[in-house]
Amino acid sequence: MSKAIGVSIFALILMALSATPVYSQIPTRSPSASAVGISVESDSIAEETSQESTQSGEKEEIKKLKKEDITQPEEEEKKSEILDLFANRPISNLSPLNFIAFTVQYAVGVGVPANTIVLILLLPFLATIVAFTRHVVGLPSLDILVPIALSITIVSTGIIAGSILLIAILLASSIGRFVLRKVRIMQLPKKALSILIVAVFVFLALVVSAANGILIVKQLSIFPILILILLGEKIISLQLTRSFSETLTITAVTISIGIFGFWILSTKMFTQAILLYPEITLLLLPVNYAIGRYFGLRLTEIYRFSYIKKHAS
Amino acid sequence: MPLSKGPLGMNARNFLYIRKYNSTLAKRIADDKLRTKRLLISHKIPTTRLIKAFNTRESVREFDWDLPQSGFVVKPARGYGGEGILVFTGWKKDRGRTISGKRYNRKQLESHIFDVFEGVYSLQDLPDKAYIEEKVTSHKFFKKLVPVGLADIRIVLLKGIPIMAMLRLPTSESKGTANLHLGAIGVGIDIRTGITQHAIRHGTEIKKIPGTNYKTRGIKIPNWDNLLTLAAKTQEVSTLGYMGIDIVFDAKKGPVVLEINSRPGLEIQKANLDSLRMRMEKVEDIKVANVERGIELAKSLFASEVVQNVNVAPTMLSVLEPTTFHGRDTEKTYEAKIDSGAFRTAVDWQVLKDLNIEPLSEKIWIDSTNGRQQRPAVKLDFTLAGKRIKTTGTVTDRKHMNYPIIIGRKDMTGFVINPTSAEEIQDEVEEDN
Repeated sequence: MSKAIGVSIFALILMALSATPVYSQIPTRSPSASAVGISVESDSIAEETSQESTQSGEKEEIKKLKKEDITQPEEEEKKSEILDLFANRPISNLSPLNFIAFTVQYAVGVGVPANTIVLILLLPFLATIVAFTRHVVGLPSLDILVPIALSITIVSTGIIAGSILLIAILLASSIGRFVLRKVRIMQLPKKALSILIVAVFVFLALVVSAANGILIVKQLSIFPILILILLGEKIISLQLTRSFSETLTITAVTISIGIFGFWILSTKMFTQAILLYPEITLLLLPVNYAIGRYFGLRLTEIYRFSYIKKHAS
Repeated sequence: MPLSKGPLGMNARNFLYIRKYNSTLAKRIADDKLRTKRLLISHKIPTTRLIKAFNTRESVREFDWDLPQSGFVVKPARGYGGEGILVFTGWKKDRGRTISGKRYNRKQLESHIFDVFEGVYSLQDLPDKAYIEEKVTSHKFFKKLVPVGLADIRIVLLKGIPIMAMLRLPTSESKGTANLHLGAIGVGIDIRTGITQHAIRHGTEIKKIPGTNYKTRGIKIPNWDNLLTLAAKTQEVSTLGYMGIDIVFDAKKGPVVLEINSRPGLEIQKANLDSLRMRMEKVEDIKVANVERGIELAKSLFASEVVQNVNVAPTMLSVLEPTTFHGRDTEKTYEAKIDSGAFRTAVDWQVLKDLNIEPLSEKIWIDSTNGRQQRPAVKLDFTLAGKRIKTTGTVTDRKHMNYPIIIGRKDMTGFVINPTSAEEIQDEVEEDN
């Protein structure tokens, strides 16, 4: 069951990456702007012009956000930036030592968006961080895909919108737990109800933040929101089977890894490094082998079992 | 391979032990309590009696609900963390109440079982089965220690060798369950003697059972050798290489296997202040021939230093033993003859006079070499080889006999007899010379 959800989340990420941005389909009048418009419509034309100007300001803001969003294919001027970056490591001849870098540069040359390449190549790093957190640090997280999906989602929504949605989802999942624990129905309808609760909360969060101008809702694609809703559903199922403190730990760890992943994905140093030296990915082979053969105590266990040493003497 | 110096962690437990020694099939059986129970029953390993297994909705509807009035337990076969278990303390016709005081009628119980079918309480929400089993009545030894709930003994084994053991005492905070995470007490047990050692609760040391004056250290688990044998036999049957076995003491049946676990927890190391890994590495490549050898090995390897001087071998009695009798305000030591031919202990009238005690009004029929005869009974209280024994014996005229007292079979439990007396050994030595 959990695997199926994981796979579906992964499929959604891929869809989100390849889908046409939703904002390009949105009519130029934003819901918030038109709401203001309705109340002032009978007033002067002067006001209408000022309204137009705020709209164009908003548009610019969206454009700016869009430029920073690496889950979207980059625009032309950014492309030249990437080509400038490649100039730091010119590769003319294919050799056994540089074939990976060659492939990346070639891919960008033939039109594969560099942003997509960055995300694809950084995904295994995030997965390794999850593995490290579990087996060496000793903190449990939701699956391996949920923290990764969360990182990419935050990258796509921006940190403020992401946090607002996350808070809404955490609120919804705590409420969902209390309500659904007592409902005696079969599992799938129960899950559907938990998705309903999360969906309602996310919708309310969107409405409230749009009405108060906290976030520019128009730039939000549906896919990151969907992923967040699925994350909320997973937290609820977790709360239905585990104790409260366990759920709290798992959720906190998952979100922390998600935010850490977001930081990596949005730090120029890392994205440029992976584009220029994609060979770094190979480092993950020995690193993961080492994590996978680490049979000593996890950091949290060293603390847990320090008791034995203290009392054994 | 160098031996480890630290406790067993999750990484090592999962990869080096569970993955290596527990087959998928064996794990699947262990995770299904109903299958485990049937397996144990078919191998004649004592476990709680299965009253009824429910596989289909029809089996629930057609059941007559004629259940023991003294109570029973309803369990999901693959429940997770004790969820979905109902312990009934009483049942009459078609209604009853659980240990937590909640009332259930037949309809509600049926709907609980249908919930189990839907997988409400199982791991990963998979469809499940339910069953009803007999309720364990806590043995008086443990009832004394813990008034609420059922104490159990967890024994971790590797390939037939007991590695570590822990007594788990429920508290009112743990709501009667032996779950350490909920606040039950874990007490480490010395594998050789079955005597409890260090105790923990919520990860910190405790010295007394909360709410009582009982010390957690120094409790001798009754029947310890039988427990180890039971655990090792259960492991043989389960085919799990690395496992934990939970045993409880039933008032009537004695030790019964309650549950087996293919992924036993690591907290037992804190209760024993020792490392599972270090112990297992010592025996990992040893192949033991049978259950008895495995237990012998564990006892000599994992004996605790603190109780190393405690003698667990049965006390040897010679034919004549100085025995101290406790009378009214007096006591006197006699040379008593150990006589396995007699059932009851018999004393001379003189002994009663010495001790200032009276015979009982009842008489007891005795079969002796002189034929069947009736003798006055007497309550006796004496110390034999360091053990205080209270019993009912008989009084007879033994003036013309060599010894005023014979100790009968009834009072020899736990002793073994060396059939040659000290003088006889002396004679033999002289003859040899």
